[in-house]
Amino acid sequence: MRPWQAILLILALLFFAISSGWSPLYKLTYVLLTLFILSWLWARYSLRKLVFHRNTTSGRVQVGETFEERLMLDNVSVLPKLWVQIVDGSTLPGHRAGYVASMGGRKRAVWKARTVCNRRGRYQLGPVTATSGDPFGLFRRHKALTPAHELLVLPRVLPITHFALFTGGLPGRGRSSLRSLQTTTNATTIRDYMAGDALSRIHWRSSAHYNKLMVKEFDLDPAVDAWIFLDLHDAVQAGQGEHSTEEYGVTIAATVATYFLRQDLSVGIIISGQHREFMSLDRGDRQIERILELLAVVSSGPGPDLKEALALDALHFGRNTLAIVITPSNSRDWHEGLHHLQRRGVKVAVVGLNAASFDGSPPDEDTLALLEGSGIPIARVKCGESLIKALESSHEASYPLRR
Amino acid sequence: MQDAMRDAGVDRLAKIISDTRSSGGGVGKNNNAQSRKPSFRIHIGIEEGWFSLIMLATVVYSTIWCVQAVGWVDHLNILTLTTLLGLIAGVIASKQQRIPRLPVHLIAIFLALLIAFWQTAGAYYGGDTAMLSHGMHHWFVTVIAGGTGEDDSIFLFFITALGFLLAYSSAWLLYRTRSPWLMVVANAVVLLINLSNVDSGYIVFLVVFLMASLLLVLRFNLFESTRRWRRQGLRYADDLGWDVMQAGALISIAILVFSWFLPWGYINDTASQVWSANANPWVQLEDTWNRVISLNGGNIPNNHGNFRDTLVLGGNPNLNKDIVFTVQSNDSTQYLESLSYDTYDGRGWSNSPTFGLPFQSNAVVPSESQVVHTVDQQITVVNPPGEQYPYILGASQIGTVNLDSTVLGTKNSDSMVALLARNGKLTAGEHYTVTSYVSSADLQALRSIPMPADSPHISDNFEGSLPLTYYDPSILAAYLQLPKDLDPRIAVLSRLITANAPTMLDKVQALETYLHTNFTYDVNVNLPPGQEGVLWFLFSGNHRGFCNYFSTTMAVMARTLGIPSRVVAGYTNGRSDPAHHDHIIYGTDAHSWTQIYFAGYGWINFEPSASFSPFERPYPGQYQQGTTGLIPVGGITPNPGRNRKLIRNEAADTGGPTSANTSVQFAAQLRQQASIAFGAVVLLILVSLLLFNIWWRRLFRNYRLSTQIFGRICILANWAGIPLKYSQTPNEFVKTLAIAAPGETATLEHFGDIYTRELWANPDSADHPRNSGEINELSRLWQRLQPRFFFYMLKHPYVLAVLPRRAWKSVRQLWVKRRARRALEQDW
Repeated sequence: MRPWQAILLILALLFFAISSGWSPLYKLTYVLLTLFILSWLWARYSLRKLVFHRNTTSGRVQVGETFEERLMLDNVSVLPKLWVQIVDGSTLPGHRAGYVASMGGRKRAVWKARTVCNRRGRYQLGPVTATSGDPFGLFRRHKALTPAHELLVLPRVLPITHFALFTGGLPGRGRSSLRSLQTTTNATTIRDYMAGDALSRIHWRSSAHYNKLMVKEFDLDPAVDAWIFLDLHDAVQAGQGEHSTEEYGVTIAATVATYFLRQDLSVGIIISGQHREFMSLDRGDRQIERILELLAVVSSGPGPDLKEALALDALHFGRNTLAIVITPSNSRDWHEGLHHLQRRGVKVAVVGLNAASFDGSPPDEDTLALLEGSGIPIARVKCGESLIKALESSHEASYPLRR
Repeated sequence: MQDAMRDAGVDRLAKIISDTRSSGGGVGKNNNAQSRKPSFRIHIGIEEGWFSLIMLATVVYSTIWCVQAVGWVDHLNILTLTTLLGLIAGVIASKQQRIPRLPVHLIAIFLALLIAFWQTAGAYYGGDTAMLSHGMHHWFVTVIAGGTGEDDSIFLFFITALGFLLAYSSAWLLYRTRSPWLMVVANAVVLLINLSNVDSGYIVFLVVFLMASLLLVLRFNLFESTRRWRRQGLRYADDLGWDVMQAGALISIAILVFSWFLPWGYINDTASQVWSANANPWVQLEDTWNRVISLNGGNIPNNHGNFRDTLVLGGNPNLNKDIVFTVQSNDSTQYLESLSYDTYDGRGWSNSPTFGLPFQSNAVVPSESQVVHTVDQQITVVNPPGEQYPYILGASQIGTVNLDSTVLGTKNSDSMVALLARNGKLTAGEHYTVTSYVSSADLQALRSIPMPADSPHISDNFEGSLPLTYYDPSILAAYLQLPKDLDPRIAVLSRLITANAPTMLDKVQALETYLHTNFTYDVNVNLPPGQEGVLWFLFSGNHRGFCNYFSTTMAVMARTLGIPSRVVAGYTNGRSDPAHHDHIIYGTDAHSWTQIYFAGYGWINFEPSASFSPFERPYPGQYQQGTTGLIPVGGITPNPGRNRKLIRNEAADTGGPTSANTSVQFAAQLRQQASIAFGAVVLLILVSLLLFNIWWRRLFRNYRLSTQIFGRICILANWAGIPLKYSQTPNEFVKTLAIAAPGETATLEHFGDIYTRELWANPDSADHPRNSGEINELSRLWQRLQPRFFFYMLKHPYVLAVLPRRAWKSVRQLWVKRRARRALEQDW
């Protein structure tokens, strides 16, 4: 019964009572009126003097790991709370942090929520709202306890010990064509001071010589640059959920990037999915984090296809560069772009995702064999296969004979 | 502050979420259990729980049993079975999902009619359905022709079908449309209608109904909540349901107790008029119902007087010899009037629209007549009569009563119809005192009053002193009413009887004598369907009938002559009981008689019934004119000219206590107040015991059994002045308790041993009570120890001495904390 219906009923009963003076009608009116007032007061009181705490281990977690949080609801009032429904508006799949607490005066309800994260992405934890009411269901009240905050689920990184496509075949270390944003041991040149440059970069001797402020520029350490092309164009994707070319591709990209960065290589990544994502070369743990953060949120879409992406970004690649293309595409359109890179001295490798195996459809023509024939190492990945095995020791991934 | 909080969620901490759906609120457990069990297992149960069904049955049966308590007709006991069938049908119908709603309802209605037909035929006609069909056909023809249906079996048929449908729709509203409040309202309407027709003692049905309704709403709301929580994947503690039900039950009891002690009885005049207006749909519905299914009051069992706002001529009233009242009076010849009727419809009497005028205890109701004297009657209720409303009985016309009352008057003539007790119907053992105005008019004075046709006519704008013989036109209009199609032979016979009577009194006496001498009193008559009562009595009924026929015939015959008259129901003066100086009124003394209106003298009683003695009239000069006895003069001083009537806007509550408010009444009031106080104390004790019981049972419930028992022993011992010292081990403490339970020293030591070993023994060793099986003895040990500790504590209530000290200490601590907090706030 809704409150207005209860009010109408009370008024009707009151009218009958005062028009007849009959005792049962008076008693019935009193019962309903008392119930109404008591329920209203109960509902008003039930969400007062509540303190909610939410202790989360961290704001980011990887696919496959368990996300755990501890939730506490304190009743700081001396009067008990019969039931308080805590609803968590979390978007993390399978995460159930809601609870219905029943607490005595000055007591605490504690519960834990633990979820195994199976999908990468940026999720929302909360907002947490409390709902309570009277025992007779006449009144219901809601109260926002905490606002929402973010949880980033990073893609899975597989523990590979080596990468089969470049075993023994990495190019020699060379000088990078790009300037570093950080201070390195390799100061290469000087330039005019610009607003925002750090004072520590000022080259005082040159400044004195030119009578104006000059700053040093640094090169990256001599290194091998590795570029990862991840093809997330929606026209070539197959499969659903965890068993999709999209997720496989992201996992492979994350694994390979992490592997190279742990080898102290500079790694950049180019993703063509919903948008074109470009992350410039860098190295170190910060770069691992940045790449994983990027990979956590990318999704397939109608962005530039692989052919276009290769054409756009191949200009930057020099002889000391690796290019790993991860794609489910069975088209030959992008082969020429890859050959072009190869001709320029870029070490190229392809991780080919067998799209047909993700759809359960009959196998398509193996166009990757053409690339393989032209000396490009290929790793083929099918749905359900062990990715570690595919990346580490696939016999198909060995170097073909050089012509 | 958080440090001060005790962590109540220790056990709940263990309820860690896993991402499978198997952990929430026991739901998953059930799912797992179900998945392991064979799918073909038969399960009989209701999703909402058996408790909801029991409460539903309680709500419906408290309504149905109230219908049975009213005793509208015989054989109402069949309602118990049909209600049960209705409930079963309702539950099945609401739980099935295959058949759409409309066909299900049609089937239910058909089933209701079928069961009602079968049950009614069995009850009234020994299973002969043909006879019932014939009776129904006859009833239908009568009703369609605008007549009054009087077959009780038809009423039983309808009430049985409605009982079935009420139970069916209650189950449907609860389990299908999920509207428990609507179900409660539907039953409440039926309950209230029936409750208004039974003694006040049956209010227990309302108490049961309200308690069951509140618990049902509570349980249902809890079920809906838990279902919602499960749907949302929320977990909840297993004992949450118990907590909610416990709190809700306590609240329900508190609400009921609180509501019962609140004041009631106020009547708003305007509201009352709106309610009783002729155009009111409820009144019209009631009239139609009464016409279509009119009861033959003769079959009411245990009838020792049954007063309603209608008087049906009907058949044998089957009056029994139950003692109804005992009366002490200074005039034992006076009848006890319940109410009067002004409208005759050919088969019975009713009243034109009425209004209520509240009067306080001992307030004075103005007299309607000129020359009166007062009669005091102290009436004690032995077996309360059947009453539609709480009528106060007394000699006509009642002037004061020592109860809060409401005067019921007719709107069209402002004449008093009845006096109603405001605090409900009187129950056995209650008594009240009335002082009535009784006419002092002698025969000579009455003979001087002319017929209304011969009385002076005065215009409305006349402002002088009205003559004594003036008849108020509104009274003439109200009390000369006759059915339009009244047979002219009645008027012819009236004129014939009164041809030689010159005055109005002579005419009335002639009619009274004619009925007295030419007719025989016989209760074994029944008015044939479709016939007008007076015509049948005068010309076709073998000159036999009982009081209703006599009084009606005289009143109608008087009206045909232009004499204002009415019928009055009540009791005769009963029989004298010299041993107790009382008059005893039996059920067989229930009676109706005729009153004739004489200008200036008001309503005068006449007794037309054969074998009843006519009323004695005062002889000239017996009473001094204007004698008022106990009633203040202002109350009855005749208004010169116009006849005194009830003035609706008159300040009626001005009457102060009279000498009737004696020390006896004061003592009675004191007794009543003492009874209420005593009842309240008893109730308080019962509620306290209930609360203590709940608290005691839930105490330490999260601990192991031995710890629970030890904790309770500590509390009881502490209350009895044997506190647990910090230095004592459990075994040492238990030994000191031997004084509390001297005969159970061995039991106590055994318990201490078990408790100690359960706490500190190696769980894998054979000494651990769980392994040795001694853990199972704990319940038995506690059953032996508990009463002894309670008994000892009651003998040594040390806690009573300590309690005030501790309370004061707590208050002081609270006060100190508050001061400290305020000081802190000021610093900030």
